[in-house]
Formats: sequence, C-alpha cells, structure tokens
Amino acid sequence: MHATPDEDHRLAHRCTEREFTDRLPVHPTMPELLAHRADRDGSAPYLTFHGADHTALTLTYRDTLRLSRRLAAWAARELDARPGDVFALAPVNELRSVTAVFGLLLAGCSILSLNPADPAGRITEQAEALGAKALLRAPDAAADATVPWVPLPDPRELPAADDDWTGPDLDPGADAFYFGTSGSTAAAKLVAQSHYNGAVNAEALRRHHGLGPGDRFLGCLPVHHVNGMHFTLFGTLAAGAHGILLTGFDPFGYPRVLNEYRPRIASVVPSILETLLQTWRTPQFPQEFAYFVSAAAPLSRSTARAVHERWGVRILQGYGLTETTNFSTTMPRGLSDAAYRALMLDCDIPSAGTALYGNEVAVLRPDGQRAEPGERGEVCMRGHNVMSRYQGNPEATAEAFADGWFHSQDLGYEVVEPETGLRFVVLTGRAKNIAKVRGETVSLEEMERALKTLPAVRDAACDTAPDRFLGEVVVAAVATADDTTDAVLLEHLGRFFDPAVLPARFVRMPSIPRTATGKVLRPRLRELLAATPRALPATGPQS
Amino acid sequence: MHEPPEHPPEPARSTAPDPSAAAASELLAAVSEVVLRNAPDRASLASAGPDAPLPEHGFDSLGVVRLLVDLEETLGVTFPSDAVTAETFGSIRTIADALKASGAAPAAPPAG
Repeated sequence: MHATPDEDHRLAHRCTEREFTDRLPVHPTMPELLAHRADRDGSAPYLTFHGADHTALTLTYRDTLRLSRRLAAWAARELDARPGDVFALAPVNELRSVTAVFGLLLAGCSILSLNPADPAGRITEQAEALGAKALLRAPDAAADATVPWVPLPDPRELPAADDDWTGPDLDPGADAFYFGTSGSTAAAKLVAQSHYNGAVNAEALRRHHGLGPGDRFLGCLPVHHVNGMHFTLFGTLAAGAHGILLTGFDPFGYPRVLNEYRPRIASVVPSILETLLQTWRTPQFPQEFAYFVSAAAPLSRSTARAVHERWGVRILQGYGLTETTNFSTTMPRGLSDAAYRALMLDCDIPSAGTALYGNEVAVLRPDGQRAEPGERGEVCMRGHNVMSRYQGNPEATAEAFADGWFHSQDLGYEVVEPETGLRFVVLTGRAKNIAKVRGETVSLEEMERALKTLPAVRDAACDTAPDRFLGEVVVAAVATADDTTDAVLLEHLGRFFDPAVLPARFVRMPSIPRTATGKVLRPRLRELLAATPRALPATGPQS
Repeated sequence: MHEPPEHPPEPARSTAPDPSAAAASELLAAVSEVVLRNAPDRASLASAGPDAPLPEHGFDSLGVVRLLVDLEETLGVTFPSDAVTAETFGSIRTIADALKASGAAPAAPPAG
C-alpha cells in the first residue's frame, strides 16, 4: 500500500523519529543567527575577503550585520523589495554579494542563486520561472552582459542611517533559497530550501567539525553553489568562526594564502587537490591545519593516498545534494590512523563518512528495506535538512520523496567501522545521467536535448569520461546531417551551459544506439565511445 | 667506451651558431610544440609567437597545470619547486627560460 505524497513528504523530513515541525535547537534563520553572533561576538572577525591582487578586507560579525541592514534598506527603497519577493542573485566571492545574501534574507525575500558564468538564456529562464523581481550581481562579476542586471551597491557607501534597519519577522519554514539542480531529467529543476534547512545544515557542520570562535576556515569555492554558501558562509557563522573567502582557486597562490591565514580547515573539491599535488612541491602546512574537506565530486583513492603520503594531512570527504541543503555525510574528525587508513586509503573507494546531525542516511534495497552493510543499494536521506520541494514541480517532488525518503539516485553501500561502531557510507556510482565536471553537476539529458535543438544534429547522446584534473568530462556522440564542426556544436551549447562544462570531445556516429521505445542504450553508447580512438594530441606536422 | 673529445667537433664553417644558442633555440622549439598542442586556440598562439601571454590565449589555471604535466612528461624534465609559479607559465619563452635557468632543461630535446 502506497502512502500519499503528503505522508511521504512528512516522513522524508523526520529525523530519528523527530517530526520536522518539532524543530531542533538552532537559531532558525540566518538573519537571526547573524544578529545573535553580532550581539555575542560582535567584534570578532567573521569574513576576510582575500582578493586576487592579494588585498584583504575583514568584516566583523557586527560589520556584517550593519552592512547587510543597509543593503536590505537599499533593496526596499530602490527595488521595492517586499517580504515574499524573489530576487535572482549571481553572487561572487566578495563583499557586496555576501551582504546582499544577508540583506535580502533580512528583508524577508528569497534568493535564486545563479551561476554568474551561465549564459543569458539559462539565467533568464530560471529567473522567469520564479517571477524574480530583479536580477542582481556585483559590478565586477563576469556575467553575461545581455541580462538586465541591477548592479549591487557597495554597502559601505550606503547611508549609515540604515544601520539599525529592522526587517519583518521571518518564518523559518519559508523559502530562503532556490538553487538549480541537474538531476536525471532533461530540464533543470529548482530546489526550494527553507531558512530552517540552512540553519540545520549550519549547525550540523558546526558540530561535526567542532568549529568555534577563534577557528579559521579557508574557502575558495564559489558562493553561488550550495557548498560555498552553506558551508563557507553559514557553517562558519553558526560557529562564530572566521572564514577566509578567496575570490577563487589559484593553484600557484593557494599555498601562500594557506600559510598566511593558518586555517584549521580548508574546503575544496577533488580537482583542487589533484591540481595542488602538481603545483605544491615542497608542501608546508601551518601547525593549526587539521584537514581538507572535499566534496561535490568523488575523491579517488589515488588522490587520497597522494595527499596522505606527500603532504601528511587528512582529507575528510563529505557528500550531500542540493536537495539535502548541502552536507548529508562527512568523515568524522578524530578517527584513529588505522580507521582512517582502512576507510580512505586501503580500500577501493574512499568513504564519504557518517550522517551529520539532523539527518539520517541509509542504503535502501529496491523494495525500500534497509540493505545490510556491504550490500549495494540506493543512498537515501531523510531529516530536517531535506528541501521543501522542487519549485513548481509536484510530480518530481513526490517521486523524490517516495516511501518517505529522499532518493538521491546515488548508489553505494555502508560499512560498519569496528572502532566506532558507526555506519560509513561508500558511494559506488549513480542511477542518474549526470556528469560532475570540476564539481559542477551537468545533466547529460539536458545537454542531449540542447544538442538536438540544432537542426544539423539528427540525434545526440552524452556520456562521461574520466579526467585527471576535472574528475569527469562530457563526451558527446552526435549524428549530424552534414559536416557540422565541433566549433559550431560548442557555440550552440554555449547558449545553454557554463563554458566550463561543455563536452571535451565530440564523436560522430551514423546513429545513436536506442531501444525500440527511443531510450538511449547507455552501456552500448559507452562501448561505442570507448571503441572510438581518442584524437591524438595535435602535434603538428612531423618533420 | 669513448673518451669525450677534448674539443667539441670543429664547426664546418666559422660562422656556425654558438652551440649554446642552438641548444636554447631547440629548447624553445620543444617547449613551443608542447604548449601549442595544449593551446585552446593553437593557430592564434602560433601566430602570436613565443612571447605572447598564455593567459590571453585561453590558458586558465587548470590549462596551465595540464601544460606543466605535459611538459614534464614529454620533455622528461622536472620543474624545481621555486619555478612552479604563474610567472614561469607566462609565455612560451618564460617557460623555456625557467627550464634553462634551473638546469632542468633536457640534455637533448627530443627530435621533432
């Protein structure tokens, strides 16, 4: 007997029998948390913005609250921001964007977080789907100029009279964020996260990493992503810690910055570690440094081993989806060397760790029963960090919450670690057609659909291929009506996707292998692609 | 086993290029070949020459790291740690200069 979608929704938000409505003891919104920190540790540093030109600007908790209030007052005055409005924001790792995040939340608005590198079509499609009141970006964000952006002001130049601006009372269950996600469907979905979802995730990170005042945290991942937003900005906020926010990752400058700021934790993705292994040849870590947290894409055993052997430091791998706010699992701190080695180095696949506070993680069999340790199944989550819904898509929401769990469509198994007795998750693959290119998730079906909108393309199918530095790249098989060049295909796809995720290779095929009902035969496609010799590096004319 | 000649072989003509200049030129050519095959737009970089700034020809930070690995694997060299900088990877010439200065330049660049 099947439960109703409402019942599934309720069950998918329970955590260890605790109903979603029975809230965990957290400050339930980011503005409330910021006000609490400003009140308690107001003069403590919250964020240092470290620029590419090596300039640095530090905001205390009190500064951040004050400037965010000015930004909120500006939005109310200039953009007629009202509680319940949605604003599209393409934030970058700098002061205006961060104060805009807090300012809009303070004003009772919700934020559609956009990738500034996305093309105009993708940006406006998402903004229109939510009826966004305006599209905001920092003036120096390299974003598509054909979008009618409103430039964010520098809050330091806004009237100081607004420092005490007070916003509306916020409903913790209301939508705070919308993030686009690339699931297995052809169209991108928008994940609606509540204020409370974000608060639970932030508290979970504080607990899991033992973060507190005086701790420094080095972040270089983009804040338009859930990881940059929820971990770098909000995890540190929940802890009263000091976040150092780099404008981006610089493989040559990163070691210097790490030694200058002496963080306890640094947040990365696997491709950053793989890159640093090449550029950082005489690694020296500050005494305070404890570990890297790596997420967003699978960490390979070879990377984990190289970091351990050459640098002598640990990586705590984490895992989560936008649908579960940010993190569902992470390797625990303080494991013995033997346990760390068994779970991260002397195994086929490094573990993604244990469930974080506020959520449960389980590997389920197809019949919904919990798998035994070592038995493969689908990784599912439930708890207080689970999204509210896919915005405007009740069918997809109901499907995702079937049987009272959020279905990740990631595959894996659990391992019971003997010393701690805890269940650790190991991810083995996916049941969804996505690629993870440098931590960016791309829907292969969406890319296929975009390719097929080009009249010269009769049919198309995309697959992934491993890449040393990017983790994975997209390889596209195309059946073209004429001699359409790669450049034409890339230019066309560039209207739909961030340039960073475009296919690394196109392979021409007379036809795409499909079933009688038209589904791509993905195993056969992979065989055909593997049989197509990779173009040799263009070495130029041989002498 | 041959004794090394006391003097390098006599050049055929007295106007022959200085051997160290010839080696530098071969190194530059070898580096150039690897850089060009990694370039997002080979033709534009090839026409811009060895002093063209690589970041202006499509090499982002990841592209530079791929290039670093390809140079080391193809030329059989290892960049010393203090040469692994953004400045070293500024242009084809700065890469060749860094290899030459560090003494990491291949004794005999592979034949083209």
